[in-house]
Amino acid sequence: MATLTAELSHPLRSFALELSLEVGAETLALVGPSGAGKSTVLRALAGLLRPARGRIVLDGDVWLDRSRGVDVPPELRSVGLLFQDYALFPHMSVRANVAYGTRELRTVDELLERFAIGHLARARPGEISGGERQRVAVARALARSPRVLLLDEPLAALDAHTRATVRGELHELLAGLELPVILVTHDFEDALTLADRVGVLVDGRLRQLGTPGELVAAPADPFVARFTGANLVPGVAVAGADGLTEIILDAGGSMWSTEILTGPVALTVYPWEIALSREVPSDSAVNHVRAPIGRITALGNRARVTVGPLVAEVTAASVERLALAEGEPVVASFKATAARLVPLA
Amino acid sequence: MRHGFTALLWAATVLALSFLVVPVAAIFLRVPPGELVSALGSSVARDALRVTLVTTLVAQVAILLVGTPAAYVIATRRFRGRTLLVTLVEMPLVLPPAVAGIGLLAAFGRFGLLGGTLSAFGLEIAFTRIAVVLAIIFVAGPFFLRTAIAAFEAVDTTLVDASRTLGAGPARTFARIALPLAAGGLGAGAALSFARGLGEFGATIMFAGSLQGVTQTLSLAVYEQFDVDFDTALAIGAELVLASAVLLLAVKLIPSWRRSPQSFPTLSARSLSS
Repeated sequence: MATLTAELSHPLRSFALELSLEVGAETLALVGPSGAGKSTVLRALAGLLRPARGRIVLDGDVWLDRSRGVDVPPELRSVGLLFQDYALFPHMSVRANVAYGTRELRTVDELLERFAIGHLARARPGEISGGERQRVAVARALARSPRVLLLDEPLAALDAHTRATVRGELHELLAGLELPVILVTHDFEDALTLADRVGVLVDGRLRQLGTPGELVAAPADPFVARFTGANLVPGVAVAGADGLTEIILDAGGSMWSTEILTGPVALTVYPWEIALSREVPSDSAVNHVRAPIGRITALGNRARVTVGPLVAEVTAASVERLALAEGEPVVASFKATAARLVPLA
Repeated sequence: MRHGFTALLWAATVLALSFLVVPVAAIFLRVPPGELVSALGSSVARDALRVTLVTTLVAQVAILLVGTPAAYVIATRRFRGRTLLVTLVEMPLVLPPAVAGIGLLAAFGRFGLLGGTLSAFGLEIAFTRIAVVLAIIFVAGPFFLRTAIAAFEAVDTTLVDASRTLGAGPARTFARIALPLAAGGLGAGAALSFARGLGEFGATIMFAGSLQGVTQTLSLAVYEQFDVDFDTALAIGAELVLASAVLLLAVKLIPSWRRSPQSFPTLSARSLSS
């Protein structure tokens, strides 16, 4: 089982990057505000930047050990790095771009086929669309059969419409790779849909590292709470009654959304859109989840309360008024208009 | 008032253009074309053409072979004293040719700085064809270097990084990414330095002299011939005008020809700062 471990220490403009990571065959998202040091981490892992101090090891192969003077150059590190603006070679055809990192012509053909870019093989990067460019860049990065895949803001260069499609494609791709993947993004929703674990990087330090669910349920501090945003519940969307979309949840049960979409989706709803009550209320909310309270995390005058697959954010006063306690049954409700759908394929 | 101003603008434009065109046109108009061509058959003209072709080509090859890697290093590395170094590279561009010639003599002449060492190896440089080549390299090389540095600086560093992460070492990255992407600028720089080398006069006459068949280039032959045989001088002049025109066209056309088939997307080097 592939494992990448990294300890990095590097001065940046107004703070220092101090980071320790261990990534198995999974997708780890590094999220955080811009300028937090996310891309520096990727550049250091790829060997394009030499950190002041640090150590990077993949499965026992030492790529970097500043204390022993080891610094393997990027071309010998077996890293696939997807650049934010893709960095396709403008003077080469799509095919030559994909073939750049490999001598195996069969691999190239397979990748062109797999990413549905065979018909573009002779086009130049300047002649194809943003989504196509992204696929070429991914194919090029994978052609080398890298042992680690690094993605720098893979969706940032795309318009909103293309973004949803490409996010679905990427979700599928990452699920099939058995590699350590590190994805940098400033968009928590991208992290939610693509990553197994999420690390929140602020001012060069990891504020919190955990599964998306853990981060939403129990943010380490108000910053992470504000940043993490939405609940995410996977399911399959079908057309339902009253012109609504019914989401048949993977974990069982159904929820409703006003967004029109079919197929595999992630239903997202913000914790502050969810109300808690002792009994099913007779108001306009159509989604109700009755379950025992899993966990209550206090955040100043607010509290995050886990109910089944959802996390609700309510005032601390409400927690007292309703006498909420861990293990007690409660009903979490939200309106179909608050339930947004993110396509997953 | 308004018409008067427009007329003034046009008068200045016509004056400037005709002043620049008349001497060049005069070269071709003074003597019938047939006589121009036959004057080129004289031994002076033929020797000068041979010397010029050999020395300019050798100098140009040396400039490209040494100048291209040097420009790449200066363009891609950040080090102390880099600005000073670039200024030194540009120095020969503004140096009066006579100063260049005397500098070369002081360095490589028999009693020069390196002259003694060279003599010990049996090498006499001053007033030989090697001197012509050195003079051309000295005055024309900076034209190539300066343009080449700018061309390499314009190559998006993200593309170089991408090449490295795809398994290409520094040498392969240079050959497959930096060199092709800078090729337009390099071509323009080469044409500029070729044109400057073709017209080299001052440094050459001081450092190499003007011996027919040995060191007398076309430019030197024009000077030698104009009080002996004005028609031959004109004919050689015409030859140089044509060569220069072709090179000027190349400078103008090469960069756009390189860029057009690609229609680059704006692959801005959005620096990886986040």
